[in-house]
Amino acid sequence: MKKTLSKNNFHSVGNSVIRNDVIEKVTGTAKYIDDYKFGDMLYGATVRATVPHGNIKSFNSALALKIDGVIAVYTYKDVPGKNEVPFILNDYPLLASDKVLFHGQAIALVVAKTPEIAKFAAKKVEVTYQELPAINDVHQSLKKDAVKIFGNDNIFKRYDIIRGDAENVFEKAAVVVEGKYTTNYQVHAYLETQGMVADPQPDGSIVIYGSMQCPFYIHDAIVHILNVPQNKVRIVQTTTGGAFGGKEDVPSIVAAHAALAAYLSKKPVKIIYSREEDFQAMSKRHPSYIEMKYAADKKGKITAAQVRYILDGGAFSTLSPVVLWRGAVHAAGPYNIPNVKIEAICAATNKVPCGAFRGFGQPQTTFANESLIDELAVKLNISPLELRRINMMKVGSRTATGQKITRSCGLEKVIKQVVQKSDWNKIYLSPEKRTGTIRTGIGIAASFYGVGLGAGGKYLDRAGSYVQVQKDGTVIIAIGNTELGQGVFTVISQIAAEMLGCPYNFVRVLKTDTTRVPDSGPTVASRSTLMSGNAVRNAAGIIRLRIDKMVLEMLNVKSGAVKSNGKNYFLSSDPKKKVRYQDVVKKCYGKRINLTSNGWYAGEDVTFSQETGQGNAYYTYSYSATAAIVKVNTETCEVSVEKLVSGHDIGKALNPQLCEGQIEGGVIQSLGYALTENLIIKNGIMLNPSFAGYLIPTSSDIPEIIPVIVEEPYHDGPFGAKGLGEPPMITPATAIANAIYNATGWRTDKLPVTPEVLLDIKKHLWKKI
Amino acid sequence: MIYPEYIQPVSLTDLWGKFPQDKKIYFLAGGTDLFNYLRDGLIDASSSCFVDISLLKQLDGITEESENIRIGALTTFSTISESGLLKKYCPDLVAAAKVLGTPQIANRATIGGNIGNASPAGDALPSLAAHFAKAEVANSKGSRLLNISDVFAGPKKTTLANGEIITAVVIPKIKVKAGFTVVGTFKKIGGRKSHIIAKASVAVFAVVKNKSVDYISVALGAVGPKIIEVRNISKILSGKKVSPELTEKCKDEIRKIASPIDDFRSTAEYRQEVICPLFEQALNEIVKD
Amino acid sequence: MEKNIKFILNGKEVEVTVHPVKTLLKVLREDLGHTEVKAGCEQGECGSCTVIIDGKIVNSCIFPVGQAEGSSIITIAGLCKEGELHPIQKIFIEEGAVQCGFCTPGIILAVKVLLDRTLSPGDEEIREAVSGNLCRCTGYSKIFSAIKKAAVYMRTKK
Repeated sequence: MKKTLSKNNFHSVGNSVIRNDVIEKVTGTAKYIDDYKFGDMLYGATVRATVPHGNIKSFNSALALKIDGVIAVYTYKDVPGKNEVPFILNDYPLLASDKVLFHGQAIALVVAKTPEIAKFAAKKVEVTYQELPAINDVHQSLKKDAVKIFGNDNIFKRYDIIRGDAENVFEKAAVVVEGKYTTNYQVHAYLETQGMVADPQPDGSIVIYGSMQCPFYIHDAIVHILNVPQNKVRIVQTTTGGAFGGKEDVPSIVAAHAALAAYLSKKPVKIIYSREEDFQAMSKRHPSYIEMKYAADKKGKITAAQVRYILDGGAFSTLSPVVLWRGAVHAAGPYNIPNVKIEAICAATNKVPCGAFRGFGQPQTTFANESLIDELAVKLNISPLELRRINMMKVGSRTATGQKITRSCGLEKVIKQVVQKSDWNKIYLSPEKRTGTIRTGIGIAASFYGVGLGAGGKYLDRAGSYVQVQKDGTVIIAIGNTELGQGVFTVISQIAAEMLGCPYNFVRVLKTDTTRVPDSGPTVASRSTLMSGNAVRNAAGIIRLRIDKMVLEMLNVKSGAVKSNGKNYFLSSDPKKKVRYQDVVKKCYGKRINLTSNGWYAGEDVTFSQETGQGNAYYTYSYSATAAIVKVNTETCEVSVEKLVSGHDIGKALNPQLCEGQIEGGVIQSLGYALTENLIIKNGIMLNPSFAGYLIPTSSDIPEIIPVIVEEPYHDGPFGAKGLGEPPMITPATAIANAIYNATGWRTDKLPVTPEVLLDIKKHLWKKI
Repeated sequence: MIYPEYIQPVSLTDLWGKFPQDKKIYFLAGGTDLFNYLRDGLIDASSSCFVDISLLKQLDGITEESENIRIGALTTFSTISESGLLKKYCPDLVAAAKVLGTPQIANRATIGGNIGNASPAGDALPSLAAHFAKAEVANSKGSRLLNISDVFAGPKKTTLANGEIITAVVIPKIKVKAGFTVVGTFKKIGGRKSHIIAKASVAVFAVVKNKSVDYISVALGAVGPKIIEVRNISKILSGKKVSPELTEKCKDEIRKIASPIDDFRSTAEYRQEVICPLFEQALNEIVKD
Repeated sequence: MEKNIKFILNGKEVEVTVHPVKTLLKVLREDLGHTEVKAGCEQGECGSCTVIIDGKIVNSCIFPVGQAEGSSIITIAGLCKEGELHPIQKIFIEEGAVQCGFCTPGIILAVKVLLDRTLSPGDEEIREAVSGNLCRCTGYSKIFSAIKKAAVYMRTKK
């Protein structure tokens, strides 16, 4: 099936070619980490803390070691290098030594001949604690007299962004709205749980195989923990069963556990998490608490924004500092606001550490700013669309960090198309005009999204590639980004085929392996198409120059532009003069021309001042908006989402079908975030660590989804592409919340907005009347 | 891996002789609950015996008797949801079977298991209570009939002795006056649209002619420690035409009798609030002009 | 207390000697090397481990292998006939209904049982048929369109 968006002058990119990893996936032959077996393999299980906060009084593994089949029990004392997982602040111990900070924290590793024995024995390791008072939420954490579990203030990280003079503007503003918002955890719920195999080699090196997003993070972690040179560690990604940020940071822990056990036992060691363990110990989306204010003039021009944005980081910082940063930079919303004051804090609590999750802090801040924009519209008595139109970012606008948007800004087009495709004008009616038990509502939310790591992680924002054209014309490619299901290997193949002038299905992308290309940063932040795509474009471009030279030679012309249709090369000036791709490759090999190249790409420079929070935070932005149509049963407070129209300016859709897949998948994760996904931790203990208790959407919960793609090309992106992975998760939840308001007049300040939450609002409103 | 002891009798008579004396007996049918209890350590494998009753074919299937419908304990919910006999006599039970779980679970979960598991949120139970169904409980000495509500000692606890087995559910057939029809439905509210444990549920079973009610029986699930029969509704509606006023009276009865609790799935307040609209939805669906 | 258990797996008779309470999932993966059956939760909640037993889908993670005696079991590996993909597999590929692929074997088996029953499934029937198979990547949208298209294809080719 070939689908293209607009007129497409390319033979490979822009087409909805089928994924190149799909045959093995539909036949079940794709190998995920638990499908690998190594000779003599042992299995690891983790001994975990059973209290949320405490000093370890005693540790006794004697009983476990007596169990038949148990090989060893390892603790922090056995770590040859540093007993810390290197994320940003290095506060997370690989195995707890004297104290534990959350229920589920790893204390020891049991290695045994079968996974069942290992798990059974892990329960027999006896640990006693002197329990300490636990911090359950950020408010408690930030109190002056709170127990300190991180530094002297429990603050992992703080950012301030100050543009203009917001405080002064608020004093004099015609209209001010404010709100306080809270959002709960979200669990990634990838279908494949975390898992790794560490395979020690005779030369003292070690190979790690596993389910992961960021092999280079894992590489750094293993080196740090085993205290071995970098060239003794090799990380290979196996087919990965979903990730969504959940396999960005924490797989380093799983891999380091496996590596430690393998290093010490000198046998391959496999660790596969149970679903419950994955829930309890792996990262989550941060719960947030946000206080937000907007000031506007009477005509609806927003003059100032003020945000106090607090994330619940959990017990260890992992990636919290950068999650906080992204949310903070975007917290004022996709609007041109001259005066902004943002205070962002991530605080420690005695709960599971939170980390990366698709959207990376933005779903939280978007819930605050896009709910409050709707409140402002009510107060100004103008439509929520009109208010957004007046203030939205355009070329020439400035962001909260003072960055001038100079190009590639499609927000206006996105909103226009979303409004049109959702039948907004037909469906919109103010809430007081809605009647009946079951009421329809429509809502919108918009956002902008800095592509890549931005100034928060600029030194990681580069990528390498290796491209080799084989004698028969087929192509092998290595990149540093990973295939997680999103389809990046397919897009990379399309880019390579376009550049080289070969058929798409000639290209094969190798499983990501740290020994093939230099550290290319993580596979996160919607950066892979842009970063690895450009790195491949770079390498393939070098090869293409050599090929073009040979084409001219074969066509007996001195100069001229060579073009390709994916089968033949031809002269741009005389298309009849052509030569077959494979013949050119053969000729190159015959003439000993090198058809191999490395590639490299580093993003444009970005800046951010730690003092003022000003700077060019990202080199480009994707823009998105979602309209949601809901039906609310005003008696049972149940919400049924009927339709989601989600529009995205992504520069260029290199594979429209894959882009739709990203949008559809993202909006449904966001639907779950809005309505049903409600992880409950009470006194530090997770109450619903399973798919029976934590409810992700099933096929029955799916509304009609209309993905909309807008292409405002980014000049430095591969064929104009920006990024898409994360944005679909950012706006839909808030669009749903705004639609619920539109249906009922019930404004939620909480996500998820469960029927219980809605009932509370309804009763509260009645009391007011 | 430590497994429980396992026996697989081939007939009911074969069953009794084989029980180990010193072990806790768990009857294994579809295993949809039992395996989770085993994994979560709620069953101590070393002191338990799984008695696999899947070969006891006489416990499987739905039969019509002169006074009753008999559903063998091993009958799965996918069988129940497709049974013509039950559609005729117990449409509410069929409705419950349809929303009980995923297709995979419905293919395995049995009615005997749903009763034996004794969850106040068990989807089949309100309907069985509304029909005043009886569980046939057997032990080595013989069998007896117990009211469904008498099987429950509390959430996840039964009154059955160790080694006693539920062999069937017996549902009395209702007498239907000429011109009247049997109607029934089951409604539940959960955290999402399907594959969900009820926050609140209701089964309504009635004999009606348009809006005229000859007989009605209502039972509630997940709004108390056990299934709650709302007997007064029959007094309010029997022999009358359903009207908004009478419906309100029924709802008052429900409000009085429901005694929900807070748990991680929902709140007592919410359960109390929605049980009436849920009943009304059910009533309006089956009693109409 | 291991037991000898025989059943038909993808058309071939197999025999294992295992404890009858061992889950079918573990027997398939560990004892028989059928790693195409995936362990997503081992709680009967996600459907990744779905197999077809005697024409019905079940979660193999909560299925005691003792009850498999004498039955006929189909995994996704049993769907290809002589290397040729089943039409459902082909159309899942075309429609872009696969992302990470972990749920895919289970979903395709659930779809097979649906289309064995009817080649004109309604929207609700389609949703119902795969409601026991969680997918976290696709938002199900392209899975629905693939099922509809596969039904049409199989109806017209019949």
